[in-house]
Amino acid sequence: MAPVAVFQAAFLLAWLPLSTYQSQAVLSEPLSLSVHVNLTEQSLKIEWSVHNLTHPELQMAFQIEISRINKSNVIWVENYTTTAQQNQTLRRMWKSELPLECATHFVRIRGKDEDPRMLQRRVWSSWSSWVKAEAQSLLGPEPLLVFPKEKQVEEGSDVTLCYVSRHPQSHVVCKLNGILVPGEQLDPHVSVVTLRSISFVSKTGSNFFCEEDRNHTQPGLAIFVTKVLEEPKGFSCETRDLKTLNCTWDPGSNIDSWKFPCQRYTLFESFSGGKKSCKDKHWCSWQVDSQETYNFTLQAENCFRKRNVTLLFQLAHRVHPMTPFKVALKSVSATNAILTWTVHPLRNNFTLLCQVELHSEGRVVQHNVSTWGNGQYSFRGLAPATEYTARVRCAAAQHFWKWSKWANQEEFSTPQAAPSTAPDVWRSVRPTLGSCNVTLFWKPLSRAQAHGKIQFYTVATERLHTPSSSQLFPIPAPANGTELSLDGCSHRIRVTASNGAGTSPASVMVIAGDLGDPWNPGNQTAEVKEERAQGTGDGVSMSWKPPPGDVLGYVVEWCDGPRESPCDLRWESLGPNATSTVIKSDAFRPGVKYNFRIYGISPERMAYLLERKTGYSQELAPADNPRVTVNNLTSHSFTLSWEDYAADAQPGFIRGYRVHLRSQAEQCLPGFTKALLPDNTACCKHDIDNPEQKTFLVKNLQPESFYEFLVTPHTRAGEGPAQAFTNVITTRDQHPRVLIRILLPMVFPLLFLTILCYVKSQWIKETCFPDIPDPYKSSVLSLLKPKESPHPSIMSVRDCVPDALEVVNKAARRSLAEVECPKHDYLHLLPTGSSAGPGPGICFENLTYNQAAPGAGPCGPSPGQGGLLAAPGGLLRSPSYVNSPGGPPAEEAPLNYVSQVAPPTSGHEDSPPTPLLELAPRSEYRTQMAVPPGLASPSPEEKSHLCAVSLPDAGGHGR
Amino acid sequence: MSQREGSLEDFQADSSISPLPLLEAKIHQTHSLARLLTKYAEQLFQEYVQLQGDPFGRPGFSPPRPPVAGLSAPGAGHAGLPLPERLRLDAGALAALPPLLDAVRRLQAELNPRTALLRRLEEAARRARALGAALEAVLAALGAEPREPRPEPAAAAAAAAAAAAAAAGAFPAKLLGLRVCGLYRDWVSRTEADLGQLVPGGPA
Repeated sequence: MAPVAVFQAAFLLAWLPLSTYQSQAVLSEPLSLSVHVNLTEQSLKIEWSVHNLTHPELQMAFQIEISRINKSNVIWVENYTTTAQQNQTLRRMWKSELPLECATHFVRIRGKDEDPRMLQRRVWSSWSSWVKAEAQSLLGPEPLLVFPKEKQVEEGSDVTLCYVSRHPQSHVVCKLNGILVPGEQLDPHVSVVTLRSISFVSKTGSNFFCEEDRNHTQPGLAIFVTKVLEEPKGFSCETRDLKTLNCTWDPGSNIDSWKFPCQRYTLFESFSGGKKSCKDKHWCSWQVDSQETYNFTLQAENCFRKRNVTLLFQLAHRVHPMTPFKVALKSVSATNAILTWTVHPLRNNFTLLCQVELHSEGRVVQHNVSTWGNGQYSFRGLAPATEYTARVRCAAAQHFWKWSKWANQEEFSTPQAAPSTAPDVWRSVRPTLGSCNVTLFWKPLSRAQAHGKIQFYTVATERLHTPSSSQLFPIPAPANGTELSLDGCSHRIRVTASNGAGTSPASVMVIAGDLGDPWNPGNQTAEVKEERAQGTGDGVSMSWKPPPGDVLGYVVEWCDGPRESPCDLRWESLGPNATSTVIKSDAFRPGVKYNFRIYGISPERMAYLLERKTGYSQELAPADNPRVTVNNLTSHSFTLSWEDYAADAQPGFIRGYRVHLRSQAEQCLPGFTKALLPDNTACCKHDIDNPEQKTFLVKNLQPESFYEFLVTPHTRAGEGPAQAFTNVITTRDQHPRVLIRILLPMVFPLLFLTILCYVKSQWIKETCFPDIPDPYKSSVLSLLKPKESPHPSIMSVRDCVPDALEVVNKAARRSLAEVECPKHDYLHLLPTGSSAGPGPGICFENLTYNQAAPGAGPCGPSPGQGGLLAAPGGLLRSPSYVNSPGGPPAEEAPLNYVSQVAPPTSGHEDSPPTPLLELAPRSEYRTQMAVPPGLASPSPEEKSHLCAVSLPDAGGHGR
Repeated sequence: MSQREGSLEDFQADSSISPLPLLEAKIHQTHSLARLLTKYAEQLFQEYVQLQGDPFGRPGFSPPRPPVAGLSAPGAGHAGLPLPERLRLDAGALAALPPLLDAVRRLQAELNPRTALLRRLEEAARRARALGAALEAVLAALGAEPREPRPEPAAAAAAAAAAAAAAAGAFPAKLLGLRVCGLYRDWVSRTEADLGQLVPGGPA
């Protein structure tokens, strides 16, 4: 290992000095550096030179350091590579943000070779010495200074300013446009003010100034702010003559400062490589050569930035021809004229499209003409005696770009011609004795018909049957009618209009007063009924039936005023195919009725009345309501009448009436419906659709009630005014009095008769059919009195041989089942003989008694009853019908009537029971008396007699 | 001095003597011109400060008023001077103002081109010359010592002042214009007041 180590050490010792020599050979000489202060541009100009280069030219790199205030405060380092030559002075500019007057700067530099030909190591040389750049020594004696002197910046950028005060203790305030801005102290004398994102204020600059309290000086500077450059808008190029291109654009709101104007616009063309500086900020011209396609770039530029817009186009597509000239008219006749013009020359065979415009009386007609040289256009169909104005403009025909301006317009007038149309004539015929007064009317011809100024009209009349008797009446214009007195009413009348160029066709009409209707012989004017015409708001619409024969036309005639005013005759002529028209007139007023007559013109040119119409151009609502009278007022109805209402005098056709009725009842009367009045009050209404009906019966009313009514007419336009209602009170009801008068005399006799009948029936009943017959009381017997003894009619029981006593149990108040099975209980009277069986005897059936005792059961003979009858003493033991103490309680036993068998009047009540035969002589019917149940209840044994005891009927005795 | 034109002292000493109509008319005319220019000078000053931007239009803005080369403001003791001396000072100031106004117009041509201010500055210079000439004529008519004509130094001084202001920047140029317009307004007004003492019925 030792020999190897020795070899390595020897190699290193040999190589190191060599390499050191090579490196120091290039940069052994220091750079000579100098720095110059440029206060105007606030920059440092740094200059240096390199000596002892190994080659005449050498690629070198330099590094520049700049310090501020002191050397250690490096604020900028820049690397710069260039080709250096021997003893050449190299320069660099460095612009300072901070005004150089406010701080001392130091600069140093070093370099190294970067030449690829050099093989040695590339190391930096040593730094040069610091070179001081001081501007403060250049300042004046003022106590307060502001730097820089002035400044130009772009809007939105930051600006650094500074001020130098000679007195460190003084107080300095600075303002921009009057607004205080703070400063940052750089050293005891120097402060820095940084304005962030400065705004544009005015072209004359923003004023920045500082004030020092010590000496009141106010140094300052103006900062000129430029708006940020905008891209040009609407960049466009065109040519007027194919020789020069004119490019225009809108620069936008680019605002340059007045002190430092630096906006520029430059035009570049890429195909030709041409460039042109534009003198104006809105447009620029470019000379055209044989080039057909152009690619322009417009560059806008100011002190801070650039903007570009491009435009590629074909030259032939951007032709904007110049205004035609030498415009003239020739060969002007009544209906024709020729317009000629000249265009500025373009290339050969370059076709232009020219537009010719003709104005006349507010109308415009346009015509297009293609031309490649001077142009012309023939106007045809012009109106005679009319003023015209013609003008022309042109554009490229093949690739339209823009019209040229209109050439100066040419005015011309066409000469007169004879009127083209016969006057529209109408007449009014008034036959008189032996003659006929005819008033002719005609309308002035329109400009299009007159072809000039009408000078006079000519009226020629001739008798129908003697054509040779013609008369001419020239009437100077502007008359619109004349009055003729003709010999008879059968004439043919011709009317013509004449101007300076000729006479119009004649308007012919025939007046034949004694001729009838050619289509309806015998039809008279008076027989034509008047019909209604429909208003359209601004006119009156009407239609008619064409007559069966041929017609030349129709005439609608009317008076242009209300009916009562003098007739201002108007007419409208219509063609033969017309069957309807709308008559319009400025004189028509709403609510005024007009009358129209429709005439047909026969082939013989005679006019015959076809129809009569009447109508309103616009109907109005009735102005007033009818005066209504109330008739036939009763308790339940009244009649409204408005017979004197003048429906024809209303401003519209009365289509009907509406009866409004108000009452206190909530429900409307039959035939009425609820409605709301304009004042939102409710009422009931009834519409009468027949305008001829002028009475109305209001019925179904309440007597002595208050009603209000209002009758309003209505037209198509609306209803009559909502006026006050009229009050009506119905009368009292008459029926009760009538009834009282009729019924009372009837009721009293009937009542009397009823009572009388009742009493009589009672008497008859008592007499003939008593409930309990009492022979003594029977009046029937009285009839027999004269023949009989005082009691001959009364059968004495003693005289009877008792056979059997039938007790009738009448099932009153029983159920039907119970009633269905009435059974007679018979008290079989014991025969006085040995005969024990039934035998003949007298049977009393007392139908007025009813067995109502509960539990009495059917009245059929029961074993018990049979037992009772079998034990004769049973019945006889209770002759007094006095309840036993052991009877049922009173409340459980209903009131019972006890059939009484009258005890003997001898007064043997206390005597022991005797056989029935003994009692019989004194037996009689007594008046029944009510016995309380408790008292009258029979003993259980006595209950067996209940078939003979019954509840009384409702109408029974004892009441 | 001719007896025909009279002397200012005689005129003031014996005011009951009627001046010659021509002199009186000249004084009256010059005074009227001064009064008219006073109004115009005030309009010019207001228009100037409005165009310079803030803070020139603010009432509180009162930058230092360094003496302008060849012209100073009317002194505080101006009113105490004898009338002929005052009129001579007025005439001297009016003679110095036109070149200054022209210098301001040139400076403003950079700062406010295409404005009416330039025309007004030009008119102000012309009117100052006219008023100065009229005043010189009155002084001559009154027999006062004529002011030595020094137009060249005044123009040179004005040009130098304008050049210095332009070199110092736009803000000093604006300040110079403010000062000149203020001097123009003050001297025209002073002239009107001084001439008013010569007008019959004016302040003594």
